[in-house]
Amino acid sequence: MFNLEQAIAEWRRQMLAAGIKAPVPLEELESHLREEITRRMQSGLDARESFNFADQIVGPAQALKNEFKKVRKTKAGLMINHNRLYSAVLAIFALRNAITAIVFLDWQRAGGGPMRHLSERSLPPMTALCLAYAVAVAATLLARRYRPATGRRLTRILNWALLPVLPGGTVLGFYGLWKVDKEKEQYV
Amino acid sequence: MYPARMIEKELVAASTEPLILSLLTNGENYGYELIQEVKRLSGDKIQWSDGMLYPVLHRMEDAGWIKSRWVKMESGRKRKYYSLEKDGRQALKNKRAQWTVISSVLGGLWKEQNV
Repeated sequence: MFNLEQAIAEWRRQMLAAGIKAPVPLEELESHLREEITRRMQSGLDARESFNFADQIVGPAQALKNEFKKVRKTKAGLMINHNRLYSAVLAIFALRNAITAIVFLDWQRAGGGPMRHLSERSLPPMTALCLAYAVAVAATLLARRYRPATGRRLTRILNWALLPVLPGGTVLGFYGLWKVDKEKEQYV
Repeated sequence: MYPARMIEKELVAASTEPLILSLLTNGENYGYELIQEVKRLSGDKIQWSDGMLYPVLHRMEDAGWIKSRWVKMESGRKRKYYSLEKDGRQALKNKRAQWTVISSVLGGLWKEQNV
């Protein structure tokens, strides 16, 4: 006696064995298989015939896997790799900001950094800024991983927020150099 | 996979994304129904296989053109519905412009040649 649920369970097992991942895309493929079976049964075929037909329509596991692999290698596949690379850069940036925030906190205790090139007043906002960037980037990375739509929105916002970093850093660098030179003159 | 007298698979592959985007403009839909809809609209000349459609849907979702959600039906069965995102509308606009150019060039040439 043909057992439809058993046949579907066996179909799932074969798909998994061939490397089709669960829950994505296996659940969706199973949903499709069941739609096809229902349609065939409604048109008058029995459960076994409907299953065999649907199984043929969905196709062999290896062929499906190859199709998924093929798509990953195409342009969008490259884009995913690009996304990974971008995420890695963001992760490094978050880490760098977190470390800088810790260093700045330490410098606050030292009263303006080892060279005393940063004023005591400038350190707290800079620490807060570094910390804010680190948290924002970490939140964006998590969203990109678990909630792609939110991740995309946050990435857009983050990119705008990152734009002032370069000119801001340049101005700060020149200010720091000027301050160091000025103090050197005082010592001389 | 693509019987004779059907549209060549290269052309089917190239038109898959604009077709999916256009179909989803009418509202959210699921894979099985998208296949049936294209089959119906093309007079059975375009028959997408699961092996082709789902990887493309997932790729489009990764690209942010479409989004998906699982919906539990009254029967207890789950269906994954896809809908268009803002970036998808823009992508459709671009693809539409490209396909319109190709269509008008071919149309013009064939009209001149009385093909």
